[in-house]
Parts: sequence; structure tokens; C-alpha cells
Amino acid sequence: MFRNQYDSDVTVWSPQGRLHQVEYAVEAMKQGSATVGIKSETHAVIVALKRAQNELCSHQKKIYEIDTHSGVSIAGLLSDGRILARFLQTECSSWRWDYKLPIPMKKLAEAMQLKLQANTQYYGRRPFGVGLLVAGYDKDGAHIIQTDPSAEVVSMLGTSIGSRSQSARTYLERHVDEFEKSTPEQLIVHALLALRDTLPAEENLSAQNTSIGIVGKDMPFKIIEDELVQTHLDQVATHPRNITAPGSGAAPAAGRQSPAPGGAGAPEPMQQ
Amino acid sequence: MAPVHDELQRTLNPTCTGASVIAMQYKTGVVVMTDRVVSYGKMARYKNVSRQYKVNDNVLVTFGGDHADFQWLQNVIERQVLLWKRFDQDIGPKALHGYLTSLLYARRCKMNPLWNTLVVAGVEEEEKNNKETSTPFIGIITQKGCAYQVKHVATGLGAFLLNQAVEDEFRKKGDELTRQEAEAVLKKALELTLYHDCVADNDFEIGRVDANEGVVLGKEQTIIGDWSIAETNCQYE
Amino acid sequence: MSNFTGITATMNPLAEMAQFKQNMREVAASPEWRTSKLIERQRWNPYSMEGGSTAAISGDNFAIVASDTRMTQNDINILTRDAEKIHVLNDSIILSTSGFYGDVIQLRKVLQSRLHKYRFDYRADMSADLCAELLSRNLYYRRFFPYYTGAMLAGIDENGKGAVFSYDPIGCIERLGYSASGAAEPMIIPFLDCQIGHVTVAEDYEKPPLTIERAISLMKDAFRGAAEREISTGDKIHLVIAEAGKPIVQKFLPLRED
Repeated sequence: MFRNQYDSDVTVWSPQGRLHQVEYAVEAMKQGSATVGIKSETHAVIVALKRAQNELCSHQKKIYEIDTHSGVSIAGLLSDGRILARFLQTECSSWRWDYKLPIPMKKLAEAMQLKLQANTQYYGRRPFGVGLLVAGYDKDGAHIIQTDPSAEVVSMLGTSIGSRSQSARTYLERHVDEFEKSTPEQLIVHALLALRDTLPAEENLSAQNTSIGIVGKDMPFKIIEDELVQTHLDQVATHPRNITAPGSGAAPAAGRQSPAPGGAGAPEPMQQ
Repeated sequence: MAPVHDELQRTLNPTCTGASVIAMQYKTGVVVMTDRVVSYGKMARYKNVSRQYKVNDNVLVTFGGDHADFQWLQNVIERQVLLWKRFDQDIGPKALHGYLTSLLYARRCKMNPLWNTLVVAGVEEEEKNNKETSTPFIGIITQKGCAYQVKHVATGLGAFLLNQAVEDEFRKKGDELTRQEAEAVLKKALELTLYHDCVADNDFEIGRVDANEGVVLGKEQTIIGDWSIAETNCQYE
Repeated sequence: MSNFTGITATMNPLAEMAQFKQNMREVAASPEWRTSKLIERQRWNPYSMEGGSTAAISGDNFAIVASDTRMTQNDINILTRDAEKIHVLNDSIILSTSGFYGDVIQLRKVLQSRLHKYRFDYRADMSADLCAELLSRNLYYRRFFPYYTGAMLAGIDENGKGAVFSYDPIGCIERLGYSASGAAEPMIIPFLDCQIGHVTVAEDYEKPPLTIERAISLMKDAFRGAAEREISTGDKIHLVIAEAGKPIVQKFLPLRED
């Protein structure tokens, strides 16, 4: 993507009918480490890959519990993501205040959509550089909601966002028919397998860099992290990895390896 | 400017009022009975007025106390229904009960109460399109925002006259009560209020919310009762 | 009539009219029936009392809380026999209440909301010590329109010890070994003073240790005694037991229903 004269702020249209600033924000999301969300009839699972900025740094948390029936996973600018997670938490809380019940996921999606959209229409504002996967369970069943900086908020059967997420989506598309009747354990394995496909050959999922969030019928939202992830990783390890030569990924569009701004030797992206 | 005496703009004395509400759960739903008179003080001012408001297919709100305050509340409830419709849901009795509790409590805190006792009756759906998991619900809210959930209730003067009678009947069968049995208990209860409560009326209606049928508003019915005892009552000429 | 000598005739008619108008304005602005005296009499009481009692005992590694489940109107009419007066806020905090139930609902909502936020902010549940302080502040915040509740907060504190915090309606807080509040408070407190505080026995007398079993049976006795003599207490005992390192256990035991 290149600079042009139509990207000075979010309110400027390009002659092709595009909002470049918004699209740049979507790029920021695409550089965050990947996260995958899938659901069965009764459960929803989100898994996320955590990054550590350097050796001295701990892995940044990417999954947040926002209520007993819902959690969120973040890809993109983590600081923006935390603001949105907090916003969702407040929405949950105020709904409970009014009705003494957990918020319906559709209402949560609507609130989210309005908040995101406002930042794509007003001069002087900046779209959130982050995409979210919201997992939840309410009386309509399990939900995975995907959001992105352009305020596109959609309910999905299974999805992935973040860097090289196309590989994960390829996995999900191949196995989507199996999700509906999956057990929670099977869902977690599917999600982790999809997440593993986003990793370059030399890296693998580990107890340090993986977190899992799960919610469903009679199961409040729970974050599984650190050593507790290991049992699930062991299951994933029984499925052999199908690694193609680096650079020629099974799905080339996938890794649309967004060139780091400034070209070679650029600093680490700040997205997580 | 004349000083504002806003005490005078608050319902500290109700005007046109309704009396008791009697409600009871049965196996798959709730039956609610109210009489159909509006009192102005002790006078039976208007007849043939319902005190039952159908919110949607799952919820029926019934009230005792000031009619004007409740008519305002109907408007508030209607807005809530529309708000929930916006994301394809029907507001359930639990949520509405919670909301109205907050509302009545907030008004109490402003020293500007809504002069109503509300009975939110309905069937709470736990899962969409699965009636098996639905449960009957009766929630009460007093004027001051004191809220609780029950399996059977009589409000107003009925609370003093009927609670025990209704409870005794309920306990004979408990949750296995059929609709016909529950309605029979309510009619008996109405007869009792009729004898003792001078603002109770003998025109009444029984509404119900059933897991399978949804809300069914009652037809107007009349009960005469047995007044033969009046002959022997020598308290009046 | 020339010989008419009314009061008006002796005064300047214009001044008199001005005076009259002034008086009219004053009386219209604040007629007698709008005076503060009358408004005071009309004043509506925002509180009501739903009766019932609650008590809590803390031990070395446990806390138990009990209440009855009766809710009454004017102390003579039973509204429900299954009222919820003990609220388990999280795995280590139990709120038990008496007094005006509208305020109880609000107070619980305030605390739940704060606990929800705390859980999001710190990825952990709030401890009983912190919540105790929070409750005190929240009660005092309404110093001039108090929550009319006899609240108690019990649970397992940060050191794994049983804790009971007792409050007055405006937030005075005290950590005690045992406490009671509500309609039967004057009956339960002396009983617990005697059995747990051992205030009636000599210093060198050997006192029985306060085990969880003993605390539970004392609690049952306290409520059975209260239900005998206090009309707004009865129906059921709701017993909530928190023991360090174990999940909270809840039990319902029958009480007299008359």
C-alpha cells in the first residue's frame, strides 16, 4: 500500500470510493499475531497466539474475560484492543445493572459496531487499529463475532484474524462441517490446529505463546493459559504438521506479508 | 416566580386505583386474576377496565395501585419491547422484572414514587425454540422497589386476606397443579376478597401465560357469591 | 351614599388597591395549604422493613453465615417464604443483609458491578478484606439518604482466615468474631456472646474450641430460638459455609412456619 493524496484523514474519499485511512487501520490489524475463533452448537472457543516483544519481555495477554458468558480475543494494536475490551466489559456490566441478566450477544455486537463506526466518519478521529473475536453464549446459542477497524461486525461459524490468518481460514474452511457437533475438547483442538497453520515452519505453539478461551452451555467463560494449555497442545501434536516450503504458502494470499513500513531492517511491528 | 412545590407534582396520594392482583403458577405457566373496576377512593368510578397488560407472547404485567402511573409505565415497557426487538429478542419476564425493579427503586430514591405494585408474570425461555426448558415466573415489585419472586401471590388487601388460603391450595399439588385447578383456586380467592374488600369487584378476568400457548388474555367474567349470610348480619339496618 | 364611613373611605383608594393586590400575590404564591407544615405531614416514607434476621460466625479457617428466608410486610404478613437474604458474591465473599429489601437489592447490585469490574481489571476475584472496605465506603456514600440495611460481609480473607465484618447502615465497619443483624439481633447476639464469646464464664474455665461443626449447630440453635420468639423470623434457615480452600456450601434447613 502506498501513500496517496486521498489518505489525509478518515473523512476523505478516494475517487475509487475508498477510505484509505480506514484501510490502513485494517492493515494494522492484519499485522497482529493471529487469533482463531470457532463454535459448535453449544460452545464457542477462541485461541490466540501471544507475542513477546523481546527476550526480556513477557508474552502480552490477548484474551480477556468480559463477563461470565463472554470473552474477547485481540489482534492488532493491543493498546487499542484493551480500550475496546474495557468498553465491552462496561456494556456487559451496565446491561446487568439494568436487567440483572447477561447481555445478549447481538446487543453487544450492535454496541461494538456503533462505537467502531463513529471513528470512521468524524474528522480528527482515528479508527481502532485492532480486530476482535468475541466468543459468547446466550439463549440464542454460541456465538463468534468478528470485528475489524472498518466497523464491519459479523457473526461467524469460524474465523481467524491477524497475521497469516488466511492459512487458518483455509484450515477452517476444510473442516467447517465438523464443528457443529464437536465436543468442547474437539473444538479446542480444531482451533489450535488452525492457529498452528499461521506459524512459520520454524515456530510452533507452546504453553507460553498460546492462550485459549472457552464458553458454552453450563460453562462460564474460562481462560486457559500457561501450563494448563499443555494437555491441549499434546493433543495437537498428534496431528502431523503439513509444512510447505517457506514463502510459498498453501494459500499465497494468506501471508500477504505486509511489508513493514520503511522496508527492510524496519523495527518490530508494535502490533500484537 | 412562584416557588415550585414539587411535592405537589408527585404521586403521594394515588387517585384512580386498582385493588388486588392474585397470581399462581401451574405446571406449564402462570394464571393471573384481577377485577375490572377502577376505584376513586371508595367509589367504583369506572367499570370494565382491564389491569392486565400483554407485553409480548412471554410476559403479562398486572398491577395494583394508580392507573395513571401504570399507563405511563405501559409506555416505558413498550419502549423496552422495541429496544429488545432491535436485536431479534422478546424481552423475558426476568429481564423486565429486573428493569422495572430498577425503575421503581430509582423513582423511590427521588422521593417521587410510582404508586403501583407490579406483578410480572410470564414464562422464561432459557433457550430459544426449546419449550422444554421454559419455566413459569411470577415476580413482584412494590412501590418502593422491593422485589421478589414467588410461586403464588395475592397483593393489596388480598395479601392480608388471601395469601395463606392461596398458599394452602398451592401446597396440596405444588408444581403439578393444572391450569383448571389453579383457576379454580383463583376464583375461590376472588370470592373471598369480594366478601371482605369493599373496593373489590365481582367482574374479573383471568389472564394466563403458558409455555405452549403464549399470553392468553382472559374474557370478562362475573361471580355473584353467596350473600345469604347477609340476612343474619345485623351490623346495619 | 354620603354618610358611609367604611374603612376604605378613610384611606387613599389607590394605595389600598395596591395593598390588596400585593396580598393577593403573596397568598397565591404560597397559599396556606402549601406551607411547609402541611408538606411535612404529607411526606412519604421511602423505607419499608421486610423483617428477618441474619447472623455470621468466623472461625480459624472458616466463616458461616445464616439467615432466615421469610420476608414480611408490616411484621404481620408473610410476603414470601423463600426470600434471598444471603448473597454469594464470589468464591470467598458472602454478603448477608436485613432491613429494607429495596436497598438490599441495590447494594448487592452495586457490589456485583464493582466486583465485575475488578475481575476484568485484575484478572482475579476481589478478596473479602477489600470488599469489606468497599462496602463501608458505599454505605457511607449514602450518608444522608442511607441504605437501610443491617449488612454483614463474611468470607475467607487474604490470609485464609475466616472473617466477619459488621456494619451499621451508614458504613461504620468492624471486624468481629461473630455478629448478627435484623429483627432477632437482640436475641441472637447475647446467645453468641455466651456460647462463643464466653463472656459469662470465669477466665480460667476451659472453653470449648470453636470448630466448624460447633459453629453450625450454634447457628441452628440461634435461629430456632429466634423463630420461636420473633414473628418476622422463620420458614427456613439459609446456611452458607465458606471454608478455606473449599468451595462455598449452601444449605436450607426447615424452621417453624407460623
